[in-house]
Amino acid sequence: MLVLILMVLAAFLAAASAEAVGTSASPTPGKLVLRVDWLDNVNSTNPFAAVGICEYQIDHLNYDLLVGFNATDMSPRPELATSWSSSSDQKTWTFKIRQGVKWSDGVPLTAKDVAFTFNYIIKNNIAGYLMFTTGIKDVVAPDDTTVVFNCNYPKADILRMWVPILPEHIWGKIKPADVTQYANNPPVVGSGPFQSVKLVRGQYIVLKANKDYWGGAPKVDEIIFITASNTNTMVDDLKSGAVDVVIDMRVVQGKALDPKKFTFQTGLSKGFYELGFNCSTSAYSKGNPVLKDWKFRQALNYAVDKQKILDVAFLGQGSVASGVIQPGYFPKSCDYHWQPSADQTYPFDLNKASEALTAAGYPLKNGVRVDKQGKPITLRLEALANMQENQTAAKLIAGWFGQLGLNIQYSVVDDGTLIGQQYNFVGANFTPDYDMFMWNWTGLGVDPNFILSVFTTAQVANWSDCMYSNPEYDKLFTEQARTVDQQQRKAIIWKMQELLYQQTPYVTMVYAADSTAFSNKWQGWVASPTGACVAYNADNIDSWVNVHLATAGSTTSKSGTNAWLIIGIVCAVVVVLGTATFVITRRRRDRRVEE
Amino acid sequence: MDRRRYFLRKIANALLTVIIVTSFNFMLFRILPGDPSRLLLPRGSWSATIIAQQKKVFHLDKPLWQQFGFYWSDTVQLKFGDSFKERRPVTAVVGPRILPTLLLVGTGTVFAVIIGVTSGVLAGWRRAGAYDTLSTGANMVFYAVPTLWLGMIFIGIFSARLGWFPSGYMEVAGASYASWWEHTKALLDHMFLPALTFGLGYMGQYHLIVRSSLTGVMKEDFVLTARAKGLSDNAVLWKHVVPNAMLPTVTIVMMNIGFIMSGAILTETVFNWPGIGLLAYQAMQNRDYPVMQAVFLLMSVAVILANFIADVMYYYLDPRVQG
Repeated sequence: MLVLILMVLAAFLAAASAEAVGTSASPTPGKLVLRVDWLDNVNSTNPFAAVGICEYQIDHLNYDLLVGFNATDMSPRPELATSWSSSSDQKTWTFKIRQGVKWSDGVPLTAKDVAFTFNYIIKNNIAGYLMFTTGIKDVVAPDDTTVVFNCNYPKADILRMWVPILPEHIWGKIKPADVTQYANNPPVVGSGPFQSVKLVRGQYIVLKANKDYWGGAPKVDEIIFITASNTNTMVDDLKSGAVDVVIDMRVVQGKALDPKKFTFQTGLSKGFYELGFNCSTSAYSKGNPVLKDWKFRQALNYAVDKQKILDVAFLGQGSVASGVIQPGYFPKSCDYHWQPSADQTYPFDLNKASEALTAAGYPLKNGVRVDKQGKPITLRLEALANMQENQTAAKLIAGWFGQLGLNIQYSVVDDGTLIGQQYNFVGANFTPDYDMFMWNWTGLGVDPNFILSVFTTAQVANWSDCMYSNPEYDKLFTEQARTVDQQQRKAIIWKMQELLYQQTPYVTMVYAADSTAFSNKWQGWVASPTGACVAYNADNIDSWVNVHLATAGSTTSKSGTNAWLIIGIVCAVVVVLGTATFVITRRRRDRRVEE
Repeated sequence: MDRRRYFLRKIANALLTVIIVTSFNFMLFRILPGDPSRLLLPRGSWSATIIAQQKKVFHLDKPLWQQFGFYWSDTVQLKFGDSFKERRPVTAVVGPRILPTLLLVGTGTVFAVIIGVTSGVLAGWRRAGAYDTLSTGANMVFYAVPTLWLGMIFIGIFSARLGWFPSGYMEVAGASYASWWEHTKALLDHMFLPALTFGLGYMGQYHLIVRSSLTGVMKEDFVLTARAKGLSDNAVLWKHVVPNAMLPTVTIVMMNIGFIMSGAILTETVFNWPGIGLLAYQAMQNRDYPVMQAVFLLMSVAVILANFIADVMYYYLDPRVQG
């Protein structure tokens, strides 16, 4: 019996050691595969159902835009359109479409696909892309290489529309009412440098290179984006070589990587974190009426130490914010980002804040700040449950505001609850029921039109979450939307940011920063824009097309599975122990019988 | 007790518990702060018309008792609505996650039961012997160690440092396998560390319970009688002591199997194992209420079912129940 067991074990171990040097379960040798880890999760390959930056990035790898963005400064550059011109009144724009481009199923791409895509969005009110198509009356393709946009007014952002061009022969068959539900399963038919070929939701997505890409074949054969649940696993995988690139990690982890083997970057990102106020002037608003007074809100600027918030809540990752348009995403010759002058910038000074509040008509009475009716001021402050940085910042802010004599009631809520409070309707009456909140804006388009629109009266109870309404601002917004000349438009946009900085519907705290780390085996990365990380931008995807191994060769995966060896050893140990115990027991029993 | 009456009573109990739990699930949305129709909409601003539409879909515009009726008819037809995050039916989201969890927890449990029970029996039989001291000490450590920490240690040693096993996931992303056998080998390779992490804690628990249960039974008179009859140690141990000592073990094992769906949350999160546990964790993070509701129901039903099976097993294991 024992001999039998030992024989089986020997056979097992022999097989196991043979396996230990065997091949791994990797794809065909000779194929260049880039593996990327991120915390995101791609839910859909349908551009009309995209909600996250990761999905926009995957969409831009599969599809092309009409006009692209230069890597260095995000200025417009040809993509599917090779050139463009406008009529003298700038209401009619003509684009020449690249010739010889084919969809990945072989069907030629023509101007008709471009016209189809835009008309589809406009006619069917496809929510996610309306922000880019406002002002367009219709789009016509007089021939296969010409597309004409007929606009209601000179459209300022016509060269910065992030709209993926879709094949008419596929999407023309989808009913508009069902289009967001359409799965658009891989393999995706697009004209871009990569094609999504396999999506396992919650786990990974595989993209295959399009060797016939009009911009030149990508240097890698495949990219796999893998979803991880925490940054520790991602960094471990990077160190062990299981992945090549990690998107988003903590600065501490990144700085601990060996710089000889890995490069760690932090860089610009689009968006900002803010403290928002309920500025609603609706008669039914349940917000504290003092917030309707912009002088009250402005005074609070002196009581927010943005540098401290950056250091403590954001661990230094990012930069102190001012205007609502982030720096770095425009050509230096025409930067829409507005920076307040030295004497305009609000310093952190609680005394100044107190004086400003008193001057605005909100004095201190026995250490408690009172409103114009003499009642003590109580303000609710809410931070979201899933945003740790905002919670830390909120606690700091509650402390500073408390020192001004304000009674701050701080709570952490679900975003569903906060949204419900912001868009509260009692019957037909708009009744926003909140005071102050902490949130952020991310994944914004390059063109500032959208984020500026958030502060218009038209967006109250829609995209606005501060319910700011100022006719002067509305007029400026309409004006900039119709000013094609960039320098003129910049002047207006600067004025708008200055106005917002003064009237404070938000206290913008921090411009976020992305972080990424990659193995030095790979090079050819292109940062977009300059100063940003190399691997997380949906506007410009040159990085992915250009990246290649530093030394020629294919990717080798880790060597074979040693699992069998381990399992074999464990079983052997168990069997030996069990046999030994059995034998000892038997011997003892035999001895007892003899006695 | 008459067999039919026993089983009918147990089935009735199980059904009643399921009904109560499902009804409580109904209250879940309605007792959370915030307008339920808002909670049932994904993040973002929505016009009043869309909210009204959403209210209709979830029957929130009807009186509560009618909502309850709709909820029951939907649940019975396994209509859980669409996931907020993934914008597709909840059943499609939850379905593929069940098997990975069953695999992981099943393997871990089998390993824990076989090794833990055997070890406990041997330790209890030769109490205060060398094996007992060593194994009980070791098992107490396994029982006490937090799963999360153990998992991370294993990854750190066996994956990051030695490279013996992958650091997680169920498969190499994007890999295609030459044959069914290759695929199974890769699966085992990925499953080893998570199953080990998951099973070690339970192994410790079973060892300790079996050992103490055995000690109690060994003091009984019938054991002395069996010895007096001249039966060998082996016969006394395996034919008399162990069957009687098994009852508490069966209880614990079945209870743990009931928690098969929820118990693996920590392990799955550490190892990125795509099962129900990780789904529950992610759904909670994303406030994906339809998925949370379905998962909650699934976990509750699993526990109730396991307890029912335990009741069935008692009938055959414990002659006192039949009598």
